[in-house]
Amino acid sequence: MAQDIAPSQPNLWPYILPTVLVLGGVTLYPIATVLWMSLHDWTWGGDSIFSDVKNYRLLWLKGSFLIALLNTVTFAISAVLVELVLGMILALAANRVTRGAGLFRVLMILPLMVSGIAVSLVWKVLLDPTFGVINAALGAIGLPEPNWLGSTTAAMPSLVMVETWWQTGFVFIILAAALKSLPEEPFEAARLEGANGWQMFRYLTLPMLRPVIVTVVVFRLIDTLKVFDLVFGLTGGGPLRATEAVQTLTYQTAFKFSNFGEAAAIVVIFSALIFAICAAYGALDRRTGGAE
Amino acid sequence: MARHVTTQRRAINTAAAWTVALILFFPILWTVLTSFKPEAQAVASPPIFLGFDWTLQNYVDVNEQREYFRYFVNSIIIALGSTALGLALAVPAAWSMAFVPGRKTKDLLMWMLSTKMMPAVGVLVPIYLLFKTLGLLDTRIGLVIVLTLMNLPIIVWMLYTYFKEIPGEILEAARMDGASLKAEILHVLTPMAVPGIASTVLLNIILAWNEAFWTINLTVTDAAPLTKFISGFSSPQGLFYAKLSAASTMAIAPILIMGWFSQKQLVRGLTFGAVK
Repeated sequence: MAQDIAPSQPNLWPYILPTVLVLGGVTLYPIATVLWMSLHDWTWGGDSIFSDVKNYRLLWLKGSFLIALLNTVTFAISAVLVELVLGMILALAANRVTRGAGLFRVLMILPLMVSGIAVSLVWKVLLDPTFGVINAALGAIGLPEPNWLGSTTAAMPSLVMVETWWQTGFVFIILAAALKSLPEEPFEAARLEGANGWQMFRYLTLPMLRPVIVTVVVFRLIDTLKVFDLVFGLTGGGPLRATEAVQTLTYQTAFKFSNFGEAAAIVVIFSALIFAICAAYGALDRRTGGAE
Repeated sequence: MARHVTTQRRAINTAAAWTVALILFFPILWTVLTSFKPEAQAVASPPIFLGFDWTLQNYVDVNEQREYFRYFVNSIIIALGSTALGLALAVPAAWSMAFVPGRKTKDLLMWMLSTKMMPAVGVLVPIYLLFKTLGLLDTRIGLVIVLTLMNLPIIVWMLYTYFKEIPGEILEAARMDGASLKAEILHVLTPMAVPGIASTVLLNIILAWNEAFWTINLTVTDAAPLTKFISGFSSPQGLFYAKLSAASTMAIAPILIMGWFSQKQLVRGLTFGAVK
């Protein structure tokens, strides 16, 4: 293809430009607006007064942002960790499922196709402390029946559990595909050398899957940090802010308390954080040669 | 001897894998079952698995309360519309980047993907204001535009991955025969890229169908899709669980059925073409 870059090469910018312009516009416009808002006292239709960094200082003083940030990070890290371990185990197992592999796969990815808002409704019914089928089953075998979404200690683990149910299929499907594409030879050689299953996983599978694992983790991390639907639908951030996430806090600050300046300040700080993760991933990607 | 151990372990592995798969399926199954129960039996203790008085009343009630079909039509229009518009923008862009890569191509792709990282809540106020000014609130065209923009990076990225796998020689041959750029895209490339495009379309339809944040916040009634339909059903604890389940079932069934029958394309879409 190298000799393709000849004078006869058509000018391709007209083909790329619409996408670039459109994406650039929808990125720059909100960024500019949000930055501006975070430095002003702004309300619907009212006058706006320049307020310097007041909104940021208030955020710091009130502390609710820190709680939400801590909750969100806890949620994201625990959920991604569970999804990764579970997805890996299932992908390894699926490699061995010979009969009904298609059905197995479709059962795994079915939850992925359910929208977040429906996931919340489905699990609200399942996790109901008095009428829910899960507590009924636990009670029947003599186990304690937790107040899944209603207690400060159980609410966060419950959210992680629902998120895991929803999205493990994504991790699974990608890892399963990556496992299938691994070369046979190193495993044959290791088997001849007498390596056991764990050793082969630890020293062959894991290193070879590393780039894929990093990509999946970054994808899931960004998605879980932006959690909204589940918190909104299942706990509304409660009880007592135990599950308040950054995005639900922003939503409340803006639309319940009409505090748009403060909400904008949250968005600015949070976006910077997510951007930092992406930058770190980019740097890592470049150093390891990149996943082509 | 070693083989015997392997077989046994394999059987245990398989059984465990299937158990997990069924556990994953259970919430969906339970929701569907509950939707056919009379309200009283939906909250019966102990729960009734199959031996309840099957009824369609919940579906009738939910339909009467809120016209399901109107939301359903909006969902279809929005999902298909945003997918079509997305493809129109993304195919030329992805084609250019895949076949005439420049030094900046990788950076450009990365940047496109990075636009997806912005927290939606933060973007809502600016977009809402813009939509209000332009009169796009609660219109289907407005939602089509928003969802197109939201999924455009993913569409470009996926198409780029697929297009890159098409051998360049075929294009050269077409060029030798004097095919114009347009003919090249339409008659040579597109047919070869159909499986990739199909996967992209499928994944995009699902993403658009399930998108709740924008569809709920930018609509009132006229353009409201199924996400809005079910968001209106958050009810007090224990009340109307059967109706709630019927609403959930009606909202997720179309997409689950579509996904079930096109799982091969879907899996390829989810893995960005990494599996054939």
